[in-house]
Amino acid sequence: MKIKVEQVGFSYDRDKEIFSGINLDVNSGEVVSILGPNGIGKTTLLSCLAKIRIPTSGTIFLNGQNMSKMGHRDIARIIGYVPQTIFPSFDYDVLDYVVTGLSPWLGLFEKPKEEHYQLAQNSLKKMGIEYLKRKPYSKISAGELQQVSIARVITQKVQLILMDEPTAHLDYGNQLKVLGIIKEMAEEGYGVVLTTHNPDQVLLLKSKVAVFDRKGQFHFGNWDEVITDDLLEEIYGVKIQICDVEKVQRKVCIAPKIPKTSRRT
Amino acid sequence: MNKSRYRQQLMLLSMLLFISFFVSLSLGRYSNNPFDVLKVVLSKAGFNQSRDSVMESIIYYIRMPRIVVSILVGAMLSLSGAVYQGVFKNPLISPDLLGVSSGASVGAALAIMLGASLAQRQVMAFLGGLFAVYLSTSIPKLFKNRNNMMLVLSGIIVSGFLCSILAIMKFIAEEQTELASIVFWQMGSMAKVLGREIIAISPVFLACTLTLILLSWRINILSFGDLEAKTLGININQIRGIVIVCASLLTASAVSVSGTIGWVGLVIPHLGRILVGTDHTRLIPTTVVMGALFMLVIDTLARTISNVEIPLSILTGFVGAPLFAYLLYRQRTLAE
Amino acid sequence: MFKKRRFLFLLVILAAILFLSSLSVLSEEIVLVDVIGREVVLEEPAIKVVGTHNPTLNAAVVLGGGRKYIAGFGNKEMSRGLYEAVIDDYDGLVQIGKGGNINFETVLATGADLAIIPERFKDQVEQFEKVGMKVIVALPNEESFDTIRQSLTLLGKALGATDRANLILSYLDDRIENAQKISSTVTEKKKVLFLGGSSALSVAPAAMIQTQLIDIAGGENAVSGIEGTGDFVEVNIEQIINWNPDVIWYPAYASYSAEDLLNNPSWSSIKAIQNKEIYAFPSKIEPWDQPTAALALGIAWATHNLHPDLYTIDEVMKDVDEFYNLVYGITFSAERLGIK
Repeated sequence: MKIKVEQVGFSYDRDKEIFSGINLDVNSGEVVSILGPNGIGKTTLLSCLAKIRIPTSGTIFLNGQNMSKMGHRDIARIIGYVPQTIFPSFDYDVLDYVVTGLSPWLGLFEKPKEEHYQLAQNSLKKMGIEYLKRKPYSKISAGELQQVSIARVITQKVQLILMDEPTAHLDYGNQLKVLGIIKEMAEEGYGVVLTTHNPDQVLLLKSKVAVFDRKGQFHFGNWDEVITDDLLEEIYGVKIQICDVEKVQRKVCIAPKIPKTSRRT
Repeated sequence: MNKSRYRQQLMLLSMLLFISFFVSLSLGRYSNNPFDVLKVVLSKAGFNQSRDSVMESIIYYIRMPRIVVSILVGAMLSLSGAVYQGVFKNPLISPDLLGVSSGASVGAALAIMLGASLAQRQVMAFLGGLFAVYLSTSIPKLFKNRNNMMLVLSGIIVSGFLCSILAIMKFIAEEQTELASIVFWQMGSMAKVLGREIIAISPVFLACTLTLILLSWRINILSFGDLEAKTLGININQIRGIVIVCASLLTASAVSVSGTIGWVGLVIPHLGRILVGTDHTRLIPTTVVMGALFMLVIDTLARTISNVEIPLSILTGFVGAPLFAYLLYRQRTLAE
Repeated sequence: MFKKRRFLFLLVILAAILFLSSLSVLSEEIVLVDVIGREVVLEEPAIKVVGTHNPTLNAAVVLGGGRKYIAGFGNKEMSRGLYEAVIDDYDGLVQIGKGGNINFETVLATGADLAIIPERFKDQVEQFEKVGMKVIVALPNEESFDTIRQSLTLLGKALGATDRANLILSYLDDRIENAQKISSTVTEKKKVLFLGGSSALSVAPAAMIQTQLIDIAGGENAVSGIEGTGDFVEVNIEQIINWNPDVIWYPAYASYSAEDLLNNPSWSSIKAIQNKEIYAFPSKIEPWDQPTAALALGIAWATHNLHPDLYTIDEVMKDVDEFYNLVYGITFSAERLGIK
C-alpha cells in the first residue's frame, strides 16, 4: 500500500486558502502523525486523504491510481476512517455496528450474513472487547467506543487507517493504550495516519511527522529530523523542550514551565 | 431487542391484519352480520343453495376492493414516510416532503375541471405528483448543491408554489360541482374504488417495497451521517436517489387512488420505531404492516360509522394527532 | 249666502283630504321584513338589484322577465341556456363576484340600489350596508315551497312589482295543487334518490327542497337518517344499495352520465339501475330542482316521471310553455330543454 500526496492544496471558495503544495507519502507499516496549531488544516488534510474533501489543487495517488478518479467504494476497500467523535443516533449493538465495516465489500442489495458477523466478532476479539458485542453502542464509554471504531476498520479489511485525533476524549491510560494499538497495527502492516495535538505522542510512536507551522510552512519527514525545539515553539507559540530523559530512556517533549501570559502587568 | 422477539411481534401484527381483514369484510352500511359473509363464501364454494346476489356483489365488488386498496395505500404511505425519515435523518418528515401531495392535488383538480373520467383523474394525479418531485429534485441541481437541507428547502418551495396554483384553480372552479369535488378529493376517500385500482398500484407497491427492503441495511448506514457513510464506501447520492424514486412512486400511486391523506406517513413510522427500533431492516416490514392495519381500520370506520361517508383525512387527523401526542409523551419519559 | 260658505268649506276640506292623501301616496315607504327577520326600509321601489347566488337572483329575473331589474350577476354558468335567450347581451352583464366573494367597488359602480342574498351569505349584510347599499336576505337555508313564495313576495314588494309576483305565484300554487290532486290517487309511492351534480355518490337529504318535490310528485325520498344540512352529502355505494331506490334522478348539469352508473358493476344490484329508471332531471337550460319559480316545472315533470299514465308528457309541455310564455314571452322545444 502506498499513498502519495503530490503538490496538494485546498481552499474554500477560491479566496480562503487552507494549505498548498503539500507533498508526503505513507507506506505499509508506516505511521504518520499530523501536527500543527488549531485550525491550520490538519483534519482537512486527513479528509483529503479519505476523499471526504476534494483537493483543489494537486493529486493524490493511491496504490498508483489517481484518487480523484476512484469511487468511494473502491477507496473504502483500501482506506478506513476513524472519526474523532461518533454520535450514536442509532440503536445498534456493537456487533451490528462493527459489521457495517463490510459495506464496501457487499453488493448494493446485500445484507451481512453469518460469515460476515463472524469476521466482525473476530475483530472485536482482536481488540480484546468481544464482551461488548451485544451492548448498545450508544451506551459504552468513549474509550470503548474508540476501540469499537478501530475494530470496525479492521473488519473493513483496509490497508490504510486514518484517525482524527484518536486520543481526544480518552483518559491518560486509554490514550497510551490507543498508541499501543496504533503501533501494533503498523507492525502488522497497516499504514496509519493520525492527527494529534500532543507532540510527545510523536516521540512515543517514533513515527513520521507532517507538520504545519504558523507561517503555513509544511515539513515532512522522520520525527528525529523534523521535530526540534524551535519548530515546536514556532507551532505552539510557547517554549517547549525536547530532552533525553534517562529514567525512561527516551527523548521526551516537555514544557519547562508555565508560560507568562500577557495578563500580568 | 433480539431476533426471535422481533419475529414474534411481526407475526402478531400480521395476524392482526389478517383478522381485521375479515372483520372489515363483514361490516358495512348494507349489513353488519358476519354470517352474511359466511353464507356468500359457502355458496361460492357450492355448499349453500340460496344465493344472495346482492350481498355477493357487495362483498366482491364493493368491500373487498376497498379493503385491499386501503391496505395498500396505508402500507405505501407509511413506508414512504419511514424511508424519507431515515434518509433525511429527520423524524418530522412526511411523504409529502418533495411536494407529491400538492402536485397530485393540482393534477386531480385539473382533471376535475376538464371533466375527465375517474381513471383519467387518477392518472393525472399520479403524473402531477411525480412532476412535483421532478421540480423539487431539479432545483438543487440548478444550484449545484445536493445536500439534504437544499432538497428539503426545494420541496418547501415547490409545495408552496403548487398550493398557490391549486388555490387559483379552486377560485376559478364552478362552485356547485367542481369546487366541491376538488375539496372532497383533497380530504381523501376510497368510496369510488373499483377493482382496477388494485391492478394499477400493486406493481408499484411490490417493486418499491422489495427494493427498499433489500436496501434497508444500507439505509441504516446513511443514518450514521455523511462522513461515516462516505468512508464506508456508500454512494450517498445513489442510495438517496433510489429512495426518493421509490418513495415518490409509492406516495404518488397511493394519493392518485385515494386523494391526499395526512398523518399516516408521519405517525406510523414513529409507532414502528417505538416497537422495533430504528434498524430499517426491521422497521420497514413493521411499518408496512402497521400502516396497512391503520388504514384498514380508518377506512372501515369511514364507511360504517354513519350514513354519511367521512373523509379519511378527518379520521386520520382525529386519531393520529392524539396518538402522536401520546407517543411523544412516552418517548419523553423513556430518556431517548 | 250661508249655503255658499258651507259649500266652499266642504270644497276646502275635500281638497285638503285629496292633497293629504296624495302626499301620503307620494311619501309611501316600503317596509320589508326579510327571511332572517331584518327590517329593511326602502324610500321607493328598487330599480336595479345585484346578487351572486343563482336561485336568489332568479326571482328578480323572473319578476323582470329578463334583464329589467338586474345590474350585477354572480356565476353566469348555471342557467346560461335560459338567460342567454331572455337577457340581451348576457355576457355583457357585470359580474360582481362569485359566491361569497364580492367586489364591492364593482357593486357600487353598477349603480344598483338593492342587493339580494341567501341566508348562507348573511355575513355580507354588514359589508353591503357599509357601502351604503340596502340588502335583503331573500332565501333561508332551509328550503321549501314556502321559501319560494316568500322570496317572490318579498322581492315583488321591493321592486314595486307585487302584481307580477302574485301572478307567478298563483301559477306555482296552481301547479302544486294539480300535482297534489294527481298524487293523492297514488297508492304505492316509489322511492326516489336525487343525486348531486359533482359526485354520483352525493345525495339530497331531507332538508333539501328535492324532498318536498319528490313528495308532491307522489314519491318518497329514498334517503333516510341524514339530518340537518341543506346541501348534498357524500355517502358510500353500500349505503345507496341499502336504500335501494326505485328511481334515480340526477341533475342535467352533472359531471357524470346515466351510462356511467348503468355500466358500473357496483351499482348493478340497485333496483333503479336494474329497471333502467335513471333520469336526468331537467332542464338543460336552467335547473328546475332549485328553490325558484321554475320549480313549478320541476313538479310537473316529476309527477309525469313517476306516474306517466296520470300525467302525460304533452301535459307537461303545456305547463312548460305556459310558464315561459308568462314569464319571458318565449317558448322552448322539448329537445332544447332536454326532455324526452
